[in-house]
Amino acid sequence: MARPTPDTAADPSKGRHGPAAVAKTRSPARAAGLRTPSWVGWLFVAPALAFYVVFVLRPIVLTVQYSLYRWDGIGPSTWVGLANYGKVFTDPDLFDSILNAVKLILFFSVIPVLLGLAIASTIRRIATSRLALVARTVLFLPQVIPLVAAGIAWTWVLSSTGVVNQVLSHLGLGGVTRAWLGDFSTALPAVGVIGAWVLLGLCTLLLLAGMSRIDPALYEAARLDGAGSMREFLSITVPILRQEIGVCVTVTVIAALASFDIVYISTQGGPGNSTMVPGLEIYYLAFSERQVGMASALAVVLMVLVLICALPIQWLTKDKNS
Amino acid sequence: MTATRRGWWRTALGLVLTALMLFPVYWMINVSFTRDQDMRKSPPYWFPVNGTFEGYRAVLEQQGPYLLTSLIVGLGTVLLTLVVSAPAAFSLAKLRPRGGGVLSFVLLIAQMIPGIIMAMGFYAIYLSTGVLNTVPGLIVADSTLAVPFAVLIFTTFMSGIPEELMQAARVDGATPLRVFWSVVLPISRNSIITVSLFAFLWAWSDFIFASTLDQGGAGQPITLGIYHYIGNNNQQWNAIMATAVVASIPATVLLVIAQRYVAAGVTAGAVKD
Repeated sequence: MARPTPDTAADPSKGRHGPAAVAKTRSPARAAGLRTPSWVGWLFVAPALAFYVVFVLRPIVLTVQYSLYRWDGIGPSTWVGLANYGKVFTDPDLFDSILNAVKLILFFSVIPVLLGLAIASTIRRIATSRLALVARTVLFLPQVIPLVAAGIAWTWVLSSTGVVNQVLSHLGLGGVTRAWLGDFSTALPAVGVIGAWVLLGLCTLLLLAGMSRIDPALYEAARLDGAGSMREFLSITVPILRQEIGVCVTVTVIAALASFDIVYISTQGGPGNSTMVPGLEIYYLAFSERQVGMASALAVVLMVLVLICALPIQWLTKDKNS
Repeated sequence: MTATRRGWWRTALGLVLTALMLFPVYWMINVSFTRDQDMRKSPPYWFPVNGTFEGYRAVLEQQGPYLLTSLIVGLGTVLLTLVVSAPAAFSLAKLRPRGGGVLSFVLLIAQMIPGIIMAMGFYAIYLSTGVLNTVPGLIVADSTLAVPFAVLIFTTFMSGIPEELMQAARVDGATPLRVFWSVVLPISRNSIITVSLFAFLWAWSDFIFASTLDQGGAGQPITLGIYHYIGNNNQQWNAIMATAVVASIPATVLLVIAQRYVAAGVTAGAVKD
């Protein structure tokens, strides 16, 4: 049921090859006076374009502008040049927030993608069973329930008297129990685990969808040639899924770098600054401490970081299509 | 023999994994029924025996307005997203105006901008135009999350609509608007459902825009309703969890009854070309 069906928007091959084929056969008719003038096309695009120019492009330009000033958001602003940026990279609190976000990539991105690959190739073979259907729904559940709700649930599970510690105590591991989200050494990994839980389902579903397109004959041929499961996985599954893996990595890396909800709910950046991430730091700077200039500088750095990570992956996956 | 043993292995692994993934959600439900005095009991009640509806009573009494706001924001976001994205996608897929790629590029960038940065931008605009702390303001902000995805889904689908179909209408004298409204939109029903579903889910779960743009609003969404519980240093964990459960119900119901459309959305997101 969850498999993409041709009548939905999901079938990529249809979208890509359909119009090209049609255009080839029908181009004479298109040229014969049925073309729509460009301005009509623009009329349809206009609302969306206006929407994004006003609400996305303009704010970005303003953010860059604010980042060059010291400003409390209300009173007069003072030109400070690149001083705010200097502070982002020298102030340990600010810079550590960026480092934390980078560390979160391990949990938000690496673990879900690797584990997702393992799970997808495992349940691919039982993909038609009832269990697989249930598993898919359950895997995707963390993605649709509000992160705030998920964060609350996890806060309780991981608390000092939470169920994780109770289970550990019963296993005779009472020594390692702690308030996982309140301990300097475990808070960041604990936040990471929540993120991995949220993103694992998305990655698995994406990879499963990709795998359903792989011709089973490829695997049969490989098996006849004596390839083991590991070899099959590395030589067939991974190369064919390059595009899906690319999308998973893009989405999850952005989620790690731009993380906000989970951290805000589970730790608020603490203890100390051990789970402070740029998103949360920007929030505090802009909305509590009224340092709009500093917040904007950090925002610009974060934006650049996200684009540096995401655009090459986008470009790589696109490269394969053309 | 080996085949069945391997199959058994996979099934067992699948079961364990499903259970592990489900556990935090299950625990949220379990705690929502737990009495205050049993909250820190060790070992805990693994099932809601000796349960209480106290938490849900609190939700009914206190969270109604929040839920209503979330519903309005969700539906508003669906509507605005459709109105903005469907015509744009139609144009990109079928009319292909010169330079239309600019929009695709802007949408791609918009998708990558972290929410908190968008929130700062909205805050400045809203403050000066007086829509801060209002429901329409929140709807507009939430729509910016859904529109790039919506344009992607619609463009992919509409590109596949045969040109003949549209040309037949054009020969009969239909304007592009007419073609869009009477030919393209009705065929795009499935994509409309997929888009609406995701727009609603995103708006419903949004926290970042709600906490920055609607913190002092008269109508606040349920995600803020949950958050206020924590802010109040409330020890009524069953009520907190019950709120989280209630906030998760619409999403879960939609996921189960509209699985096909969710899957379509997930896989279509994978084809960003």
